[in-house]
Amino acid sequence: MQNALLLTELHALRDQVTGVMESAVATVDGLLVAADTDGVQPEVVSALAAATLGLGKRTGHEVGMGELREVVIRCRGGYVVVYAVGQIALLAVLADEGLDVSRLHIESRPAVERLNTLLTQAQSRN
Amino acid sequence: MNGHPSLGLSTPSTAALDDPGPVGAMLLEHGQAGLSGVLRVAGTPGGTVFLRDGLVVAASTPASPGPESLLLRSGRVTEEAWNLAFTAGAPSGHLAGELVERGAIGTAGLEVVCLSAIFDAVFAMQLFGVEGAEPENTGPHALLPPLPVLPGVPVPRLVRDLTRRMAMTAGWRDLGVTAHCRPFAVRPPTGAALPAERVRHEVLGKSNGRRTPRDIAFALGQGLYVVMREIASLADEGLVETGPPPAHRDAADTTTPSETPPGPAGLPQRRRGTSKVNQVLPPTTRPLLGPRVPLSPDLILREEHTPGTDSSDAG
Repeated sequence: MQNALLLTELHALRDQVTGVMESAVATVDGLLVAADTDGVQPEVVSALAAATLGLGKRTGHEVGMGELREVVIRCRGGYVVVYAVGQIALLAVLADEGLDVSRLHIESRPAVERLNTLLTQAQSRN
Repeated sequence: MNGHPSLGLSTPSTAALDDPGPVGAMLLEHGQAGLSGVLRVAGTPGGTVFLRDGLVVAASTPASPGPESLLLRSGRVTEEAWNLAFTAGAPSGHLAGELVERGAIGTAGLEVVCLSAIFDAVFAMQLFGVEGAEPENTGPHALLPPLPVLPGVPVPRLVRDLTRRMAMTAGWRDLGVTAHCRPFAVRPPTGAALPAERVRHEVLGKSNGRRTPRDIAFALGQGLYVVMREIASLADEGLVETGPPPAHRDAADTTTPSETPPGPAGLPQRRRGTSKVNQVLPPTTRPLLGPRVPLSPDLILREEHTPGTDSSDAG
């Protein structure tokens, strides 16, 4: 099942990167696809992450800094990081303030790639 | 042998105390050499140790909470006091002085927190495993993290405590308490905790089968070692289990939008009215296609003072 595979990816990300607490995959327009969450409401995170990603892309484009890598929000209690997954989806990662940021950026690239493959497979199969 | 090695209440065997371990060995080497600089420890996740003249002044790692987390998350220092002190003191390296001057925390209390953060960070690096270290000589005037301990901790003292903690941790392995375990409370914590048992109570409350000891330490603003000791004690009493949790037991894992339309695509799609946003927003009396400008008394007055024009043409 595709959703189980997506969840496996999210669990693996939490296992591999110190500090990652929760994560969710959503469509670019903010609808939840799969979530490995604990305290937060995944639907809310999905919708806000979609807005965040759009704003990040637009801002980067306006100031001429090229393609968006990811949006990083740093708060007192941790980080919210949003990655684009291809053209159709996004990955939102919630982490505490001890997050190993460099490790996340290394591990998330292949994870985003795999998520993209899973999602496009699912789309083409239907 | 020890009576209750699992509880960490007794002295571990001396054989374990003689081995400083990889982090201990690195620290001893560079401490003896009188390094003034940064020791970048590679590992999963590794970390950074700051030394001055061979004394350890700070250590940070993603595996254990630093002074800021310990002070803020635990509520020892308020958010507001921290922000004010940080703005005033951090650029000139006087954050500690500002915190004390503003009465946010006492000198001794602050030093205890900063010291324990160093001991805990070194312990966490060793516990999670390291692959090597890269010393970088930055000289005695290099930039330090916000809350250093000056003049610094002698490496032998740090290593003595490190080996003691490692030996204790080794005893907890039999209970299933490791750096990577994800304990879950057998039953939720009940009743109010006694002040003396506050940390224990909080650890129990955070043990939900998702969090590792390190995650709980960050969530509570307590040291990794302290949290692991509590988990070991709770596990010993059968209040938490550390075995493989019942297949990612949290309900959110199964989340798929319940109203996923049976559409052609594998991804969820929007449907009109499913967001229920209209139930949240206050009801509006404005007709959907009516004028957006509210008819405030000001506007009506102005319209009255516009002679000879039809109100719809005004402006």
